[in-house]
Amino acid sequence: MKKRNGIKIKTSLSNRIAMCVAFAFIALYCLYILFFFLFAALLAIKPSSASFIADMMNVKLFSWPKGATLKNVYRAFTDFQIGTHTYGEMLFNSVWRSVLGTFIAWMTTVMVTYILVFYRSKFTKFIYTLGFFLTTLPLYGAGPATYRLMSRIGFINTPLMLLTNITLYGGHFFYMYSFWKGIAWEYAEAASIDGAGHYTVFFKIMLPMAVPSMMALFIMSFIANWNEYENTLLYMTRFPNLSYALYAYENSIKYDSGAGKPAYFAGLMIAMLPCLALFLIFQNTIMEKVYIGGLKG
Amino acid sequence: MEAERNFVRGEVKVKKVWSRRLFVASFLALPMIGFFIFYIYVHLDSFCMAFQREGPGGEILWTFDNFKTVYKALFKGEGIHGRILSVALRNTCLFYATGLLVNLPLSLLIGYFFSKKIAGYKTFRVITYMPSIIMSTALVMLFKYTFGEGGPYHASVLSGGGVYANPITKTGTAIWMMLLYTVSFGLGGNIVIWGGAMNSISPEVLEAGKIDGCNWFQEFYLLIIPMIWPTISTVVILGAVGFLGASGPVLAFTKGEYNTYTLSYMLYEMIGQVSGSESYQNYYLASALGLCMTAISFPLAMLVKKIVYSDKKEEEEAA
Repeated sequence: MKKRNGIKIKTSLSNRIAMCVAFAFIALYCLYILFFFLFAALLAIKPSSASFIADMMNVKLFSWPKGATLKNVYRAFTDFQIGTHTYGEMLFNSVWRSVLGTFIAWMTTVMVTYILVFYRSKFTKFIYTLGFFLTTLPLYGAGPATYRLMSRIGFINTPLMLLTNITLYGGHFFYMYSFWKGIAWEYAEAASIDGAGHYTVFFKIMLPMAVPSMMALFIMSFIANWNEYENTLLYMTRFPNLSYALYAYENSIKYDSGAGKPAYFAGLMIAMLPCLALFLIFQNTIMEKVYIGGLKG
Repeated sequence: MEAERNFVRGEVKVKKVWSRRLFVASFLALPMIGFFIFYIYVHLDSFCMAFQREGPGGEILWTFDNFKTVYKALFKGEGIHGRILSVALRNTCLFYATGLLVNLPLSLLIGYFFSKKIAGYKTFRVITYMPSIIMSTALVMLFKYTFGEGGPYHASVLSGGGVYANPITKTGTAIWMMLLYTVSFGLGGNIVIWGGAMNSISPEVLEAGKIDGCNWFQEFYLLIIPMIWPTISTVVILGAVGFLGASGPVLAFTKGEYNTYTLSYMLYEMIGQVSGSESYQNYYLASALGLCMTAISFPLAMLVKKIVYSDKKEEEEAA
C-alpha cells in the first residue's frame, strides 16, 4: 500500500503479479545480454590458438580454459594486424577520427542551431522548415553519387573525409535546436548591453551554458563514430579504425584454422572498453537528458 | 545638431545590422557550402545518374535502360540482380515489420516497467542499453560464435540429443538469426526514448488513474500511450520514412549470402563492387534502384504521416 498526497493507494494483486513477471522477463533478458560479454572474456583468455581450436572441435568454447592467460591483451597489440596496420595504429586512428569527426559535426550543428533559434529572420525560418521537410523525405541511392564525388575531389583515403561532417542538418539537429530553445536569451542581452559582441556572447556565455546538456549528444556521436565500419570500408581503408579491424580481421583469418583468435577476442574486448567506460561515466546524462518530444515540437 | 545625431544613430544601427549579418554568415557559410555540395549536388547527380549509362567508349549516354533492368529484375527475375532483388525486398520488409511489430511494443513495455521503477531498474536500464553502444562488428562476432560451431548453442543442441547445423550459415535460417540479433540488441535505444517521454508525464495524472482503479495495463494503454503519442508518432514516422532502408548488419553477418540481402545492403554492395575500378556502370543501376525506392516510399511515408497525425488532430478538435 502506497501513500501519496495523503491518499492511500492500494497496489492490486494483478499489478504485483505483472511487476513480478516483468522483473523475471527483464532479468532474463539482461542475463542473455551479459552472457555475450562473458563469452567474449572466456574466448579472450584462451592460452593459445591451438587450445582455441581444440575447444572448438570438442564443442567447449564456452568453458574456462586450462592455463587461462591475460597475455592475449599484449598479443592483441603485437599479433592483431590488418595489412601493415598494427592494433596500436588502428586504435590511434579510432581516437583521432572519432574525436575530430564528432567535434566538427557537433560544433557545426551547435552553431547552426544557435543561429536558427536566436537570430530569427525569414531566411533562418526557411532553413529550419527546409530541414524539417528534408528529415521526413525518404531519399535513397545517393551512395554512388557520393562515392563518385569523393573520388573526383580526392577525399577518399584522406583525413579530408572529415570535412563531409560540415553540413546544415547534421546529427541531432532537432535535439540541439530544442536545447537552445530551452535556454534564456536574457543572459546574452545583459552581456550585449555591457558591450559584448556576438562572438563573445556565443563563446563565453551561451556555449558554456549549453555544453553540459549537449555533452550527451557529443558522447553519443563519439560512440557512433567509434563503432562505424561500413564507411571505413568504402572511404578510409588507409586509416582503418578498430571497428573495421574487427570486421576485416575475422574475414582475413576465416580460412587459416583460427590462428590468432584469442588475441582477436582480446582486441575485441579492448575495442569495446572506451565506449563502455564513457557510457558508464555519463550514463545519467545520456539516459535522462536525451529523449524526443515529437517532430511537431 | 539633431540631424547630426540622427545620422550617427543611423550609422550605429547600420553597423549593428551588418555586424549581425556578418556573424550569421560566418556561422552558416561553411555548413551551407557543405550542404550544397554533399546533399544538394549529390542528390541531383544521383538523379541524373539514374538516367545514364556508360557507352562502349566510356562516354555517358542518357537512357531508361537502368529502370528497365530494375523492372526486369524485380518482376521477371532476370539479370544478375534478378533473384537477389526480390529476396532483398522481402528481407527489407521483414526487418521493418520486426522493428514495428516486435521491437516497438517490447521496448515500450520494458520502458513502462522501468518508469514504474521496477526492482533493479537502474541496473537493468544500463544493461539493456549496452548493446547500443558496443560496436556491431564485435557483437555480430560474439553472436556468430555463440551460435557457430563449438559454441554454446552447438553444445546445448548436442546435450539435448539433437543434430547441429549452424543456423547462421544456412539458407532459410540465416535471415531469422539476423532478425533475432536485431530484436535482441535493438531494444535499448528505444527504451531510453520511451523512458524519457514517460518520465515527463505528470505523476498526478497517473495517481488519479490509480485512484480510479486503473490496473497496470489500463494505465499503460489508456494513459501512458496517448500521452507519449507525439514521441511514438515521431518514431513511427521516421521508421516509415526509412522503411526501405531497414536492415540488419548484413555486411558483418553474411555479406548477403544465404538469402540475407536487403535493399540497403544491395545498394552498398553495388558501390563496393566498383570502388577502385574505373567503371561506374553499377553506380548508374544503383542510382536507378535508389530512385525507384524513393518513388515507392515517398507516398507511403506521407500516408503514414497523415494517418498518425490525423488521430492527434481529431483528439485536439474533440478537446
